[in-house]
Amino acid sequence: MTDLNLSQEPKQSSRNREESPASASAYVPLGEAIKRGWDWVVFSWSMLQRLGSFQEVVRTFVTVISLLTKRTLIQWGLLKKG
Amino acid sequence: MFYNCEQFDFVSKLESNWQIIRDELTHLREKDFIPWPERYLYGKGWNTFGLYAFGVKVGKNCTLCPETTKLVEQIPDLTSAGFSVLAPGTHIAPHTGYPDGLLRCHLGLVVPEDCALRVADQTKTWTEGKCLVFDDTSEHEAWNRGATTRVVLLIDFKAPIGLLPVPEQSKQPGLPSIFGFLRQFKK
Repeated sequence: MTDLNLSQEPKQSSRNREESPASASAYVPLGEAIKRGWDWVVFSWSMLQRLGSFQEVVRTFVTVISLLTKRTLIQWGLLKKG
Repeated sequence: MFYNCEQFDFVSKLESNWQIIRDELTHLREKDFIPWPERYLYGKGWNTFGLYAFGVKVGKNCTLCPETTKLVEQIPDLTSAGFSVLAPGTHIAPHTGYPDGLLRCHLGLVVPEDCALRVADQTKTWTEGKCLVFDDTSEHEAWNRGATTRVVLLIDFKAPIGLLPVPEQSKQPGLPSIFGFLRQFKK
């Protein structure tokens, strides 16, 4: 039998199905934006703990910084995509 | 839009090994899964188990699923891979992905009745052991109105050249607009 409960009883999501779903492009107040950002911080921290050894964490950190730098340079038009 | 899966070579390999993947999934514990951070889209009930996240290998998780890891590592231009779990009663609101030239593949692993995925104007249901490939930048939503949990293996990979339409420039306020504003001063 699986440890992951794949046959749990139906539970209603906190978002009601009949509710109009949130539009991703709608105006987001600052408080909500901070909350959304915080959710990403919590997610990233959880993922960081599952990366493995310290070397893996350092390697990942370097990779992420280089990806963000590259993306910013492309956005500024200082680097060509590809 | 959905794509014809036959044009992607890795799909047949995934589909022929889907039971191995599902077997590894069933050995995971509930605490191995992390809620997806975009909670405003679904409330609660969408959990993930990442193997690769934006090109970064999630070492501990890969150790728990060695065969699945081997299979996803064979996918050309893989960026993200992992299990996506949708609890009964969960509805992911319509949203679009990020315009990075990626396509998304879902391999159905545990598929109850009454759950589906809408991409643009097409709605499809998952089938256990079968893949769906779609453009993540098209508006899409997913729901599970079934009695049990839905699980798919989610894979993001770079689309082959010429397959995706060229993305429009972002019209939303945010960092791109700020950089555009600053560039005006540079001129």
